[in-house]
Amino acid sequence: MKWRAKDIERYLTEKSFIDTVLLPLIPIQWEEAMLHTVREGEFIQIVSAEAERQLTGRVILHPAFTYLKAEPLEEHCKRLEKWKQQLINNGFKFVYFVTSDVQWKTIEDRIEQLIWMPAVPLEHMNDRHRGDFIEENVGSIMKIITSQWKL
Amino acid sequence: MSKKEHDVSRRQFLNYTLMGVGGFMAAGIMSPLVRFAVDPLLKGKEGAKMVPVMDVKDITNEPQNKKFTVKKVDGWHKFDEQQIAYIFKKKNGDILALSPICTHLGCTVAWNDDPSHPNQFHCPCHGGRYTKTGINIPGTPPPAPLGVYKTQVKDGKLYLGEVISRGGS
Ligand code: FES
Repeated sequence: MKWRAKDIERYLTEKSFIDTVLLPLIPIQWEEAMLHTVREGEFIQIVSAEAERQLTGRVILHPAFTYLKAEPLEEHCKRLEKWKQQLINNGFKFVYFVTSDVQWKTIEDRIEQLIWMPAVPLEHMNDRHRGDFIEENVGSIMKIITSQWKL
Repeated sequence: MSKKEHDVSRRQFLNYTLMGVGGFMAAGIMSPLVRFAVDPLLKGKEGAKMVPVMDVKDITNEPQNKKFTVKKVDGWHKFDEQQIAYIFKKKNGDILALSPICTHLGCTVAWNDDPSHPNQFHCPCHGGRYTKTGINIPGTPPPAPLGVYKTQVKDGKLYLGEVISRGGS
């Protein structure tokens, strides 16, 4: 389900079936490596939107957590922790953070359920290749999520 | 003389201009009316738009997952949406193209990917299951069979149209 009234209405009536949140972590940066930073966000938004589409009955695609790359990771962590707490308090059992920003990888064991995937310049790929590539990445997100559901 | 000519042309100019404005205004008033009159027709056409998906000779008795793109409009947002159909031939030779959208809460089902329930469609979200022809299996969450695509065969190709729901039970 998406973060829009139509979907959330459904969520409110079917709460017991929707226990998973997909939360994209998207960096912002206007200085060096800006283009790369934009790619990281674009890629993650595309794959998480597609994963949501296929798992829409149990997953909410949360609005992205955005942050300045230049700021200390420690601060993002604190803020993110609050977001997560809110979700747990509201009954969500699974919260997945998806990102292409490698910074998060350094504290992987602290955040748990981090899905990291490297961004690629999608705009340089042809349609076919791009489709396959996205599908592959969406597939691995879905595998991670559905295998946790089975436990 | 020359002044008169000038006058006329100025009046003409004004006339044209006013007519022009009037014309635009009339068009402005008319166009919603015309749209209302024509819209249902346009919609009818759009709904019936069939997309070629595969060669009929390649259709087997085993459901095959085929992807295709359709143009969609969601409010003001126009986009290409990828759709999936599971296509196979039934025992009697009829072609069946199933929509993989689970009738419970809309997740995408897969064919035969659950070893404990072979030859069924299986929903990853809450364990919904369907038979090969898309009939929901009692005791699992889905309230209705999978939708079926409108099909049409032309020049050896299978065309798919909109999804028809098979109701709830
Ligand atoms: S969405 Fe398929 S079983 Fe719930």
